[in-house]
Amino acid sequence: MRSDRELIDRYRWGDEAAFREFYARHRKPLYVYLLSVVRDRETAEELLQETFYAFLRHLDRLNGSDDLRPFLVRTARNRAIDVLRRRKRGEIALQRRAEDPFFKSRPAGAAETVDPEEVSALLRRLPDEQREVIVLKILVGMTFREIARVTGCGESSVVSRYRYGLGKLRAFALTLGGCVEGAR
Amino acid sequence: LKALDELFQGLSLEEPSASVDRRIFGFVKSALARRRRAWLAHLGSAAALGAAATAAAALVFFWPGGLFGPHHDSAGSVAEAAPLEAIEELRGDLDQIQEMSELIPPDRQTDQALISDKIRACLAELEKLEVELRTVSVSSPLGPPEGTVSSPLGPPEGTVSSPLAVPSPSLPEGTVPEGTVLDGSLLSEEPGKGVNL
Repeated sequence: MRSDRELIDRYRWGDEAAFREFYARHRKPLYVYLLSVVRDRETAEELLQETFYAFLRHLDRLNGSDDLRPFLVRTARNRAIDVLRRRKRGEIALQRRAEDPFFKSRPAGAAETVDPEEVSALLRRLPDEQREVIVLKILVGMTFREIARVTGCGESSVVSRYRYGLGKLRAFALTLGGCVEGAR
Repeated sequence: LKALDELFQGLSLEEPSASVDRRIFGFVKSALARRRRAWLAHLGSAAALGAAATAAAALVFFWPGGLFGPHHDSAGSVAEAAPLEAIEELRGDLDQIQEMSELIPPDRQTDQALISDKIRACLAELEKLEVELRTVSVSSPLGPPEGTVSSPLGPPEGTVSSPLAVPSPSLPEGTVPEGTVLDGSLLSEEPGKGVNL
């Protein structure tokens, strides 16, 4: 598999297909991360678009790493924080509606397994910092060190947020009637 | 904790709508097109610069009247070395510049036309010069001594030239027509009379 850096280098020489491959690799994890922060599909999509626009405009500032995911996540995070601040100041109204799920629904007739909507609901109940670490670690696939760099926290704080978050998820699942345990 | 960690593996992530993908790919296409245009414009400038430089070099070395006077050493250095090869080399360079100029984007057609005109003018000058040089070489059956173009006419004593040279019917012995390239220099000291060797 070609590295992010290789794909982007090819794109810089005019290879559009290389960018498509890069985009296909990151679009879903990044979108779900944004969804977990801003909570509604419409804003998450706007931010995803802005993130890639900003990424493409600032290609020259990339460092030498082969994995460009932390750069993308940092860009997405900064934009999401802007939206949250504007919401707090009342510049953007938070849509009062059911929050969008992070996972696709089970297809009808699929084998009994964990309910995606319940898992989304469990994640939403976590404090913001813990949810962010869990989403970045498990769904985006970043290392603790990368998460620490992106969020500006110490690595040990990131690890403890992750452990606390998972502990709470387990407790929520048990109180909800064994969504998690039932799936095991 | 491990069980919880694994829980997420069985779920498929939500994805953005197709319209977001389309917008991002549209942006990518236009960004690539902008890059291409910028690159071609850069190439166009380089081609213009290259054409101007080549034209200047050609004018300096091959201007029919001689830009630096009849006995200027540097003006004749290319002709001294290997005039026909040098002409061929310059012609190749001009062809390359012509090819590059064809990549200039359509919105800069004026520049392209200007470069093409200059290249054509240079090629015409080279053509004339080549004919002139060949005439000089052919009229001396044994050819000139290495690295020089010598007089087709019989040389006076003590000069290097073809022993089989035929005297020109129109000029006195030992003279060459005005403007003839000799030993890299353009000899035209006395207009209309030729030059004594």
